[in-house]
Amino acid sequence: MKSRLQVPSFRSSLVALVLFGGGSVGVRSNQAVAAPPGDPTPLNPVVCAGLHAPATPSTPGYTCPSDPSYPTGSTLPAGLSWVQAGGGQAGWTPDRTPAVFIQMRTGLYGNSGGPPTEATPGGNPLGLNWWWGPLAVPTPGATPPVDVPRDEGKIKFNTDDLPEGIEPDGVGTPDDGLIDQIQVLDYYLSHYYSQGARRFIFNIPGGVAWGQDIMIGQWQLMPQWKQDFFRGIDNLPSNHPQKEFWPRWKAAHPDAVFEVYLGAPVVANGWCSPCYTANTIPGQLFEASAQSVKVGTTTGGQDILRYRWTIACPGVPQADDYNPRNQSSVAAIIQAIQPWIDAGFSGFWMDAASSNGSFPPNDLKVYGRRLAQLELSFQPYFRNQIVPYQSDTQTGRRVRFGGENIPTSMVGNVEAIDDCSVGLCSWLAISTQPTRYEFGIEGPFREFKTESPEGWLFARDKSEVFFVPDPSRTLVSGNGTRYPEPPITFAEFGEARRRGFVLALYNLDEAQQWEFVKRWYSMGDINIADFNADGSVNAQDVADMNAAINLSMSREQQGLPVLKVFANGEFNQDPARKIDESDRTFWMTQYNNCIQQPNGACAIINYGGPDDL
Amino acid sequence: MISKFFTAAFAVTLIFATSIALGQVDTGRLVREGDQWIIRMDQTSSPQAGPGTVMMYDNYTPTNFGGQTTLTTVISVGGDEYGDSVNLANYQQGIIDSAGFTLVNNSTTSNITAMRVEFKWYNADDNAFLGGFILNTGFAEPRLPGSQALIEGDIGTLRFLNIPLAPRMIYTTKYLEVFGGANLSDVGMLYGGPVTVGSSDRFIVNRTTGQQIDLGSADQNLGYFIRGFVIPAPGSVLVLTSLGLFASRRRR
Repeated sequence: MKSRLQVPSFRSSLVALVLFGGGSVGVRSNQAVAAPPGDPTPLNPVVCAGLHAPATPSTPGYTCPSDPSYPTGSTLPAGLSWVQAGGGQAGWTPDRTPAVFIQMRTGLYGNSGGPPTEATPGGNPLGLNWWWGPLAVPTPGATPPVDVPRDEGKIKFNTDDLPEGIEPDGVGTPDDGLIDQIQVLDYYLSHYYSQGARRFIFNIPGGVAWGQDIMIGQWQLMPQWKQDFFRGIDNLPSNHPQKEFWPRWKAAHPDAVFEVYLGAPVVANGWCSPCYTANTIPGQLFEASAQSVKVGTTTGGQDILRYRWTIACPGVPQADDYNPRNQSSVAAIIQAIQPWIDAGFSGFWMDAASSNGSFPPNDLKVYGRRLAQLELSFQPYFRNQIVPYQSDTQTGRRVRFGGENIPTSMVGNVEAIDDCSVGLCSWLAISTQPTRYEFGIEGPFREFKTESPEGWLFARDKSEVFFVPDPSRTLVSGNGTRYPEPPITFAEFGEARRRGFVLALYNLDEAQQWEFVKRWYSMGDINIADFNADGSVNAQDVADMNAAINLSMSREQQGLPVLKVFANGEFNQDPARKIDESDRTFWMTQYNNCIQQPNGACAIINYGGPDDL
Repeated sequence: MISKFFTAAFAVTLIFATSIALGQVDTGRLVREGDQWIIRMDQTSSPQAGPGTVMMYDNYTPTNFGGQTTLTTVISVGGDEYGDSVNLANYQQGIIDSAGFTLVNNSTTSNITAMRVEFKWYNADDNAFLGGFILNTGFAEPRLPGSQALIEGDIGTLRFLNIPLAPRMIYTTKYLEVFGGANLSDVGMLYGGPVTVGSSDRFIVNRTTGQQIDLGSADQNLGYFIRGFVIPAPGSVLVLTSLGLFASRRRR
């Protein structure tokens, strides 16, 4: 057996069953059958106007940016102007490049590593991921955080555990047997770039202070050396391999795009520092929002509820959401984000920006997040920012914003996609699951197949909605309930792709997920003979390949659209990009060669960056 | 070689996943031992209490309300600030870690879907204000007419407020707004007893009016708890030496 990945073999049959119209595995029986592959389906037919009618009130004055009645304001900083009627500024266009999340923060939502104590002054209060630096912690009360020398952030690995491509001491570094955060970052970026990734989302690089929501000031939460790193400033010797690493890596990979996932709440000074100062001044009580969920029942029949913060910024005056009509808020968000732009980051994802639902009922501040997100997306100051080294055009890439989660509204009993918002901004759906759905609870789970009569479908030319499967395969709801989820399959990635989602890898360690994604975009190294990426080369690959290519050829003959990607049978990359018998012949040749090789030397082709976005 | 990398990453992931499955949130911390930094894994418990977290007043545990009569309307003028004395047991210097309170929807027809409630704590000895906060909370499931609920934060929820403990405190709550159809006058609180941790004086007080209220016996007190957080002893640790995950201070 020629195997790179070990996966239970029965999954292959499921792949074939779901992928090629054989049934409804994982789909409720009363739901629509999945669309055929390669079909760029239309947006949900719910119209924008209905969603923003008075029946779903929003903040007064908040309407779609294209609404002719949208008033202009006069409180912006000099030189800025509000979005004009009819769009006014350069319009938003989707970027459907698949993405890899660089996970820089771990821990449960809203509960990072815990506050520093006298006994553990360092701790990991920002909940940073193991490789990004538990030492990179600020001193309580310091704003911005104090510097932590980069050298002290080094982590020692056993030689056998070293990531590929990371030398224990690095060329030119002292022989101390250590690696540091940048070497690991280098590995992740370089490895996934070689495997087709062109878009990297740095996930919460500053971390989340314990008890707080995700703050917009991710840059400000980082220690000085990390800020300097992204600015290309270091004190390394000129021959050091990591000298000015960040600008050099960007310049060497001009088609790579860098984005940041951060939070929507802002405060007057632009970030919420991880301070733990007293807040005991009468009349200035800390005020925060929380969701209370039932966690049990007493023997006396009372419900036991537990609340968790949803918006919190302790130690400073109350955090507030971004308000595009408030001058200080605009200034704060510029202050928080500008350093990232200067460092070559062109995309910004705002946590919990879709505001699905109303909390408390008709709370304008919370519901207004969605529309504030739209305004942010069209904010002229950012729209006019051009980030160098990024290749949307010859001159660079415009700054763009996206929000989490999928914006929806209840239309009767159906949770319908808000087409107005989807058509005007980028969105992503972390923890979207094929079969799990919760609405109105902290968990942002979305059952992407079936939650509306049509299923959730997005037009490829009008939308940018990411499908981001849960990393842990165990979802933890807001009430603490745990839902073991089966692994996302090759077929489910394909179905998400057909439904118009953009695919992403959330967990860098989910190597097989990326193998799936690569086949749905024809990118990176692909073991040709392992068609279904189950880690084995066997007769199931032949069956799956034949089913895929037969269906694609049939659709092409009928004039129906087909995604010209590996998973649909586009193997030989012919200039005409036609899926035909030559692709089948090409694949069978590679397959036969593979199974005849005694040592499993199967052909691996690097397909480069993603195709047919 | 890739597999080696993922083996290392997986090993760490496994540690985290295992701990989360046990209801704990693990985070690495660095401890200097001589000239070495070593990563240790703290285990910040949730929902179990961890080192330094001490129940200091408890009139909240469910059995307290067993056999009690139905709610009186005494505490249903929601706009007022009602308080109860909470004499802490196991008192040590520290801060409020978390607290619990109760909510009763006395409406016969309307739900409560969200509310704003103000918490304040005072030093009972000198009446000094110690701290407080305002909780805006929505309910994933509406509080139905006649329903009773105990509401609490997780372990550690209130630590960031740095509200100091005092041996004898006044714990007050004031319902500011309710949503969902019910009115403030529909809001009630549970009371009962006896207090299982700490003690309470006989009367509860309406701090808005100064009225002292006797609910019938010394055992009738509001359904509160206060958990304190004191400077903890070093937590249980899991040294990752077996995984080779060390942090070492670089020699200069």
